[in-house]
Amino acid sequence: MVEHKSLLAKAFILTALIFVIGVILGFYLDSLRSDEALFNLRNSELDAQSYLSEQEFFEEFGGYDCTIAGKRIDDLSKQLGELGPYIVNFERKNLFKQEDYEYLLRKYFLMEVRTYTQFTKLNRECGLNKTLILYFFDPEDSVSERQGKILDVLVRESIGLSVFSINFNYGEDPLLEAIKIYYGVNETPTLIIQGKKVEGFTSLEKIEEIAGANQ
Amino acid sequence: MALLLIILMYLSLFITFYWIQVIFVKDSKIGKLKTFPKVTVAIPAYNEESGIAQTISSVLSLDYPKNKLEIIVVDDGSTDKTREIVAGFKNVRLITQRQAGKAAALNNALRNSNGEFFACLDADSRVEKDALKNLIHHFSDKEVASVIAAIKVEKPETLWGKFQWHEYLMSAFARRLMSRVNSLNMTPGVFSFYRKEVLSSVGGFDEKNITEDFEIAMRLHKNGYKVKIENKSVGYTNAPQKFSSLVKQRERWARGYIYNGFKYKEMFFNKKYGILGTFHLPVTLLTLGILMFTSIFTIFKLTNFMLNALFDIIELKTLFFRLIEIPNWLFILTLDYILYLPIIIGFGLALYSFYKARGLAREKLRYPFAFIAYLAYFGFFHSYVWLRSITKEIAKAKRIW
Repeated sequence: MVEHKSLLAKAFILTALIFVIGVILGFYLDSLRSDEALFNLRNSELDAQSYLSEQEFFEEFGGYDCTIAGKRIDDLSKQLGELGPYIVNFERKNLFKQEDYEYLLRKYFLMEVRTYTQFTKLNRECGLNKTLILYFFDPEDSVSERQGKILDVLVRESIGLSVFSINFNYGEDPLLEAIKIYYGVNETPTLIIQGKKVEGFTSLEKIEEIAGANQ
Repeated sequence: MALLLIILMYLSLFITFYWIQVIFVKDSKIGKLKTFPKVTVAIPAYNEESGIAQTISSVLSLDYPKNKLEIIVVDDGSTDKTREIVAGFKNVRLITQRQAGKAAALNNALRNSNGEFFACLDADSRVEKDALKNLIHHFSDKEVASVIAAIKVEKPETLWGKFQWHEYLMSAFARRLMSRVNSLNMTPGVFSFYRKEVLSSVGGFDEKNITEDFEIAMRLHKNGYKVKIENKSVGYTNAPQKFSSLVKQRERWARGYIYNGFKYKEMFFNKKYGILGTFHLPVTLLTLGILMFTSIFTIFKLTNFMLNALFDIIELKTLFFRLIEIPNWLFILTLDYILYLPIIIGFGLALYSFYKARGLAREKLRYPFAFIAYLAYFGFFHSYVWLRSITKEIAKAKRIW
């Protein structure tokens, strides 16, 4: 019986040890995840600032090149497009870094809106003929997930298309409510294709058709 | 849900760590009997014409003084040629009875036996030559009331048979560990030996029980006796080769476990019954609970995943295949290590246990595909059987052998 108690104690210690290793690993990965997301977001932020500075410079001194500006903002939107799903996914796995993720999500949201605005402006002023899609999604909704997959294919395979994803349920910034009211968005998934609202799941063909008609 | 899963996984790991340590616990020394005692091997048989001759022959071939070996075959009202075949053997006593079941046949043999020790052997089984000599010395410990042999599956033919080949190796290993901490609570029908005096004094086998082998082991423990295993003694059984017959057999075992669990409920959490009462019995229940919960959870998740994939294929059509891409390395960062760590370690420990089980059974790794499939199916199959059995017990469906 004494040996049994010793076996139980050792089993408990070993289990507790594995648990502690799991927690430490979880904490370490949490930090790694938020650091990685922050690093990428900071880079995107710098690129955005650089782009805006470029805009201001050429507005002031002349010699504006629409092709270069278009390529830069296209790259920026792609960077953000790749980063978005990871921030959302990382936040779901978050254990100890809630405040960091709140900051990251807000920052990401603002950058998406800003880039979308800049891109729309550039599209109009330079006649870039780019299709811009504002995509309202719910990370917990399987239809949104499926819609996201269609948009992934479109972004990957269409040169003249950019998607800006916005979490419909993100409630930390009043700007989201303002955008939702502006476009009349009440459900997910909702797409704003070249300013035209399309509610519910939309097929690839339908998106291409709307985008083509609204060029 | 995630928190509950984490708790259950760590509880499983705790139980696994306990048993893994028992691998390194030394067996208590086995004394030597001065002389070979007289033993009776009872073979209950009902319509066993196809295998009874082989079973009797294997007992007759046992390396044991012939004048100390009594063989009794109890024919339980067979309608085939079982009786004629048995009658053809010299030195084998044939007792016939109206069909009354295996336990009644064993009790009949017990009443008519002359041996100091009494063994039962299923009529579709056989034993290795040295099986008896290897295990009999365990009875030098007066507290030992029963010694069982390790069971292997005889020539598995189907995938289901091969699954069981692996399962029986693990069972023999697990029983060795239970034996070391005196919590072995099973005396199966393949060459389990009993001290006759004890067996008779506790009332013999329960004739109304569908798992009389489990019931008698529990009763022996309840009366303060020990049950041991000798892994060098090997018996072979013909395991069910079809899924339906396997389910039927396992359902009987599970329902027998539930019935006897209630019958001996006072032994659970009871210090009087040592490790069996305070640890083994409650942990078995807990393990079954965890197994069923995780299996249902996994099936739910897999179904959800497959339904989503199906909808994706329907909705996205050819796009589905265009979506497949190598995941970004950042994917590694999203794994839940608190949950996966006990699963990975537990799986590694299970593989180590199997390696040790194979060594103990002196077997090479056979049927590797069946082994991999066994690892995948084990939890789901047992959960299915247990859920069926629990449902039938709740519905009070008739218990049949």
